[in-house]
Amino acid sequence: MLGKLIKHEWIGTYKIGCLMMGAMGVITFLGWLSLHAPIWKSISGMGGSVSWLDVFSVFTVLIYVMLLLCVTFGIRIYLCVRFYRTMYTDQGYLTHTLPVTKNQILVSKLLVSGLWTLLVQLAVYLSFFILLSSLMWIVAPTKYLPTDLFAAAWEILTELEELFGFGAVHFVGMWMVSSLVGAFTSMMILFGGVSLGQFMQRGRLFLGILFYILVVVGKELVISLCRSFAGTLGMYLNRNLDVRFIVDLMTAVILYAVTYFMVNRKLNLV
Amino acid sequence: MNELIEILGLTKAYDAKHIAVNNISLTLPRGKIIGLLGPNGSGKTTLIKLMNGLLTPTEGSIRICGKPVGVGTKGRVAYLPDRTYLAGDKKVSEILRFFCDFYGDFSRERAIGMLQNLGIEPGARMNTLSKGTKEKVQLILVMSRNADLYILDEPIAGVDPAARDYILRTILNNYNPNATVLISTHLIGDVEQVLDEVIFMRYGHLVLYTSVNNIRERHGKSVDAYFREVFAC
Repeated sequence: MLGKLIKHEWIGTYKIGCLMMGAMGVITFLGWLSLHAPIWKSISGMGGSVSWLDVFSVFTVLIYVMLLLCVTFGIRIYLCVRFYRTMYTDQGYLTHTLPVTKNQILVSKLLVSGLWTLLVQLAVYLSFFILLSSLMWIVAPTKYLPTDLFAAAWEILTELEELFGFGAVHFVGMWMVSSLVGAFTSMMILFGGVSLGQFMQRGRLFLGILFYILVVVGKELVISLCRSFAGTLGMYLNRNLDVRFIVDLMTAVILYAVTYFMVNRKLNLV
Repeated sequence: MNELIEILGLTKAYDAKHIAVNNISLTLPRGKIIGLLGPNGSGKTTLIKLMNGLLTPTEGSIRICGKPVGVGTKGRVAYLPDRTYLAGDKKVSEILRFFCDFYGDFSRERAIGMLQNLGIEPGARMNTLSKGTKEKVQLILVMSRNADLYILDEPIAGVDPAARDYILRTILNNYNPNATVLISTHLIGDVEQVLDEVIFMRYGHLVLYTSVNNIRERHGKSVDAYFREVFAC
């Protein structure tokens, strides 16, 4: 039954998910186009001229960043609204009378939502890579290849390693694991916030959003507190992702348990 | 075993002041159409939600087909809530696929046949259908299952008399004779003709559980008239 739930959750979300990915492609293309304005060549001293169109081009880059943020948050908001609707409104009458366990319902929603968040996140990374590569090409077309970006980033990390005793391999590894697992934990924290609101008699949606904000603020306070014990900059950088990863994971596990308790024992569809 | 539902000492309290279902014990047999009747706030919908696992009892238990309410019973109970619970952006055909996937007792052919009789296009999206048509689609989905228990919460409320007749005909023509149909309604006069037994509820208590024939023979009244007498304000 879990497979069927995942299948229908995917069917229910793929249209908006694909729309977001398509929007990401268009945004990346616009960003790439704006980077081909002469202003970028003039900045690099290659003889371009500056015109009002170039100013517009700089604005396009700013819009690119804003749209990227909209897509990143947009998919999360959409998935969260879908979770709320299918679990706690009239559609919940169908969800909760299916011959499946509550764990299967939650896992299917978490897996599909996490996967979409991960795909959008990967698309953001790819978009950044495409834009930085094209920028490098414009600034110095004969000297660099797009793959040199990785080499440059690694060089910076190894320099930090030497200067502050910072673990570059550890950092890159944790960044990859955090990106992967974080897509799922971030969705669980959102779902958990919404579910906490359901314990109340009135204003459940509003309180759900409020609880989510409180959980995030509390989580960030714990992360800041843990990081503050770092004695050196290297330790701080090393700990940063580790602490965030552990706290996010623990919060997600606790909120999964809370959500399970909510739908299993305290569900009261109005 | 003829017992289908066994309810024992069932209580649901939302808080200390609001006890929606108060210490109900009841055994319902197979093969009957039973009316669940009572004024507003008598606890009918709460009892139905408890039977479907949408609420957790404060005390007591419910067993359906000998099993406590859970995954095992949800596969054998076909439930029609008193509201539109299908997503508006879904096509009727997509909803049929959904039901086929999750309910082993769902007959796609029966559902398609009933949709054709009503002229409902499987390609139509739910949000393009009228309220009455949505209710018919939901009823078709429920009655296309070969379930042991059909629970219909206010199935004829808010629809025109012609649609009421269609709904009642659909219930009579499609339910499995070994199954029980539990119908909650205020419109007693409209459903009385199809009922075998009735349950009266008031303030969360069970007032009466008897056969329709018994009411007619002992009190010389229709169920509707007897209900009005019992629940007179």
